Amino acid sequence: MRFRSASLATLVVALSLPAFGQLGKIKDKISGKQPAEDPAKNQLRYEALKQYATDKYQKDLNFRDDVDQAYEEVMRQHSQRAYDRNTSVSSYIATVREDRWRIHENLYDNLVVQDHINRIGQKLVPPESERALAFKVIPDPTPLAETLSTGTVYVSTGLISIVDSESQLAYVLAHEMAHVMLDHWKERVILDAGQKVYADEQAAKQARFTFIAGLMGAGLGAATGLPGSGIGGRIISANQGSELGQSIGNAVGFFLYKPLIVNWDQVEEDAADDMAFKAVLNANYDVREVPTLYTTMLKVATRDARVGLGFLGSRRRVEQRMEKAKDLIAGAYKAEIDAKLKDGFLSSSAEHRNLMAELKRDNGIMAYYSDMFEMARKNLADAVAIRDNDPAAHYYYAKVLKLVGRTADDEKLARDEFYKAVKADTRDENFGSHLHLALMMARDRGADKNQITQELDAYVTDYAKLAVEDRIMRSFPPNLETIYEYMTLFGDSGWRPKPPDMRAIEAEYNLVNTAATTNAPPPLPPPSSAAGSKGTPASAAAPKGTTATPAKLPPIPVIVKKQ
Amino acid sequence: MIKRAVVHLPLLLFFTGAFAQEAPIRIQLLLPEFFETPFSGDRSLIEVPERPINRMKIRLLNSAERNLSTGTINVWVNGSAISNIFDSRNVADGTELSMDAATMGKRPDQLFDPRENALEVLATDNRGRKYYQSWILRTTGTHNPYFAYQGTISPEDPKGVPPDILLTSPLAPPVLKAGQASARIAVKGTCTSSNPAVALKIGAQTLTIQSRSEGFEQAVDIRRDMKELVIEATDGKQNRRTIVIPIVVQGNNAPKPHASGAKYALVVGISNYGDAKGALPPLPQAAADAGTLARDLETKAGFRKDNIRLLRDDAATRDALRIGFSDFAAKAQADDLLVIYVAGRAVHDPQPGNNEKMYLAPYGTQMKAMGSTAVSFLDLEMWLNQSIRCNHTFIIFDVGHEVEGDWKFPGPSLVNNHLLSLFSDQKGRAVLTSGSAGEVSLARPDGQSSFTYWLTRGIAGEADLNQDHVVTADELFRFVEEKVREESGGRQVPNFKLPSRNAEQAVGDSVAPAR
Repeated sequence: MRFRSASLATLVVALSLPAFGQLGKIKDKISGKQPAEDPAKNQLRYEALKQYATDKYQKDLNFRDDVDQAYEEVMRQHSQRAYDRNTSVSSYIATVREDRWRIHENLYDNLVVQDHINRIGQKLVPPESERALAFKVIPDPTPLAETLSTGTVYVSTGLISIVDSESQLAYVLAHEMAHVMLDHWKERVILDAGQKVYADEQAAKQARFTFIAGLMGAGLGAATGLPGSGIGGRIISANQGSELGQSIGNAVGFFLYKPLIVNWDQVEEDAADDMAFKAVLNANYDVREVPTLYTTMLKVATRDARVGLGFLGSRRRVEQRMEKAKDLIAGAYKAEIDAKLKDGFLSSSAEHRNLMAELKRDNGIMAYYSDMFEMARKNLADAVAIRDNDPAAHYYYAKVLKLVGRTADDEKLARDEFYKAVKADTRDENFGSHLHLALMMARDRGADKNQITQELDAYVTDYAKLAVEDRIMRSFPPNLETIYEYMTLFGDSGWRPKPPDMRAIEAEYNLVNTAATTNAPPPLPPPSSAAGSKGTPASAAAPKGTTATPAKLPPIPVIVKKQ
Repeated sequence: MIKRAVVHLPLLLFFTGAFAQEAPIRIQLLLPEFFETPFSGDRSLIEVPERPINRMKIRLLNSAERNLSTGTINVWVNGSAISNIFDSRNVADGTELSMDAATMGKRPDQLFDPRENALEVLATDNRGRKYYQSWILRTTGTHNPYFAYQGTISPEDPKGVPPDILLTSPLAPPVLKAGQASARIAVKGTCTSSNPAVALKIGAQTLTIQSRSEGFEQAVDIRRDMKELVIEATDGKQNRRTIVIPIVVQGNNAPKPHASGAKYALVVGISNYGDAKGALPPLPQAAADAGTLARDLETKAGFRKDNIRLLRDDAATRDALRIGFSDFAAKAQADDLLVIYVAGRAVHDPQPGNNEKMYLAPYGTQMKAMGSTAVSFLDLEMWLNQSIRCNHTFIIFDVGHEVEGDWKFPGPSLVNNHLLSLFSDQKGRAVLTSGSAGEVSLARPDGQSSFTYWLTRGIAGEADLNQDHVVTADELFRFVEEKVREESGGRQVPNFKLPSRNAEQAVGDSVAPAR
């Protein structure tokens, strides 16, 4: 039920967002507005407008004040957006029927992956730059990148998961970084203000609408607002979207903050491409992989329209950008590339591949629940190919194969993967794999009843075990599974978390409670060294006149269970 | 008709031309610690010095032309995915994956076997075409299967090799009979080292070897309280070789942990694979070998007839094997003994795009439908892992036979390597394969498989090294390894995994009492 309302909310958010600017075109058709004119002509007009606004910003002090003020507002809104996202990051274990997995909210809750992506990003920032940037990963299976005027670059797990190497990812990050470095958000505000003034000068409101609609239809990247909202609309509507996103509250994690999809204009994109190219090359990543990146993304987008072009812009633009990248590789940068090839470019570090196994697993699971089957299948197949000891990756890979597989081979593979999930599940957490394996075995001719009952029994027992352990497990950090992996990596594969000694904690609370109730001075000397030393400051700080209500343990985060 | 052909001809020429222009991807392996030149697919068997493998590079030449991204290149060692221990770089002629001590830190488990490793690379380009290549890395040096060998490299000499000791005496563990307090034995051999001034310690005595290669002889007294005799050679740079020779003491042995319950055997032998077009060629002796073994188990090793299931030829279909491996194997309880023996063919899938797959071939195996007619190794593992409850299980494969024609795998067949790895991490299970990776099972002049011949002789009592009238798995496996290696002139070396054999747990489990 909750999931359904979340999906509805997502739809509302999505419709209010500029990514769905295509809706504008439909509306235009209905209202009988003129569709786009010649794209090249529109581009010229758009650039003329941009030139006009930029000139005005430099020469007209009043205009400049207005722009600066509006930009400050944008930055404020972006800071708020970043703040909201940073302060509501969380993850928790969820179960739906026989599945058990970890939901990530707002930021992908994997410190090592976050740190790794940020480090790739920081390598790309030009050393002479005084701007501070941060690169963060958001949990969303849709490939998206988002840049804020604060200097924050967000990339979605979906985007990272379809990028085939660290070099290609570096290019994506560098491109987004370039929008920050080149102050494109400010350019946006200048353009917006300039457009308004320009329209006033023309004193033709209707003409303005037509003009804007034309730009949108041309797909020049200006098509970001709903019709009539003007160029500034893209920012306003985007922020409306974000507010709406916030008001929806605690919807299922990765839908909470829909990224701002901003389609920069061609000049801005070209400038960002140029800067990204240099940055990637300077960081010794292989720019020759850029056309491959575009090819891969187009291919994925062709298979599943939802994967979309959040990062790339329009299909036609991608082709232009791909051509341009090829030109740069064969032309302007050829000598530098050849020189660097002597030592070789980094394509992917071992660490990157290793972390991609985790990220692709998590994104594959999100994609699975979003019915993005192709992406789920590819992500999870990659995850198990990189390292084959991850039960959750095997389990969800099997699930997606079983769900969308058509051939006997698919079915066979699904069964193999359920088996591998059972085998790798040393902590008895993937109880669903026992159930599915049993069901698949039951379809064999002359199936072994003993084995089937064993598997069914394991499913029920492990499920119950989780339910019993649940209360204790909730007190542990949500990224416990990551800690298990580190423990294994550093040598203690059998490590289990130790629950705190509840008696000692309760004794401590009782002590605090007694002190608070009687409002007596803290006992001196403390009756027991451990409880006393810790209890003293707390009891001293207790507010006067506290009632006799016993002090309670802090609330424990809730595990969501859906049946 | 002609008109149609004319229309299609230019198209055909166009496509032929397009494919012809694309340079194929060549995959090379570099082992910079051992060799300067790379190995391509035509040199897939590589003998490496006995030293830990800490550095490795894999090159995919012309990868850029085929739009091969590094994220789509995967590597396995002995069947385990290890792509996460390679950095990948793009170089002028392609892509290079490299592994070093630092990147290996991602996998704390022991990835490489000290004796033999099968390395597989599979790359998929953006059109879905697959490129596969494999190599076998085998440690050089002649080892006596009864002794334990260990080489240690000094940190001060990272490129060093441990000294090599070739023993000519003793060739088997020395035996102290009941009532015999001690014995004097001669330890003879040759010590070879690239860093002379080797201190050679034989038991309590120390000799010094001054030249690069020198013979030695030393008399040593062994006593009943000694479990083993240790020979240790340390060269001038502190590289060390250790050989541990077990001492067999009869008479006062602690009782060995035998399987105390019933004995079960599942014996499979498939000579005939069906009459369908394209069926696997017959394998004349397999069914007879299985019959011989089943008979010997009954008459010489105390297996009850009811507890032996023999599946031969058309009785060994995929379903029959499944039922045998699941139902029958499940009969053996924790303290029982279970022997599974399979003589037949295992197939390393020769079809392009499927080269990473391997199957055990039952009767009726069809190449185009391997998934449903053959038993993938994972199936085999799944069936057995779910059914086996017994703590004393011995799985013996004589399946690495040569095959010609369409079924021939265009590279070294890795079936023995993978079968060995499948069960190696399982407690209480021992696996014995008829050969090592890339080797084929050889036949004796009378047509019987050399491996099965020595296996049956071993079970009949010849493998009972310490003459305690119990053939342990340890004794049997070492006996078979030694005899088959000797008979084949080193072309076929059986390989085995005995769990915790150093801890003496499963080693004492009896396969069969000698007559």
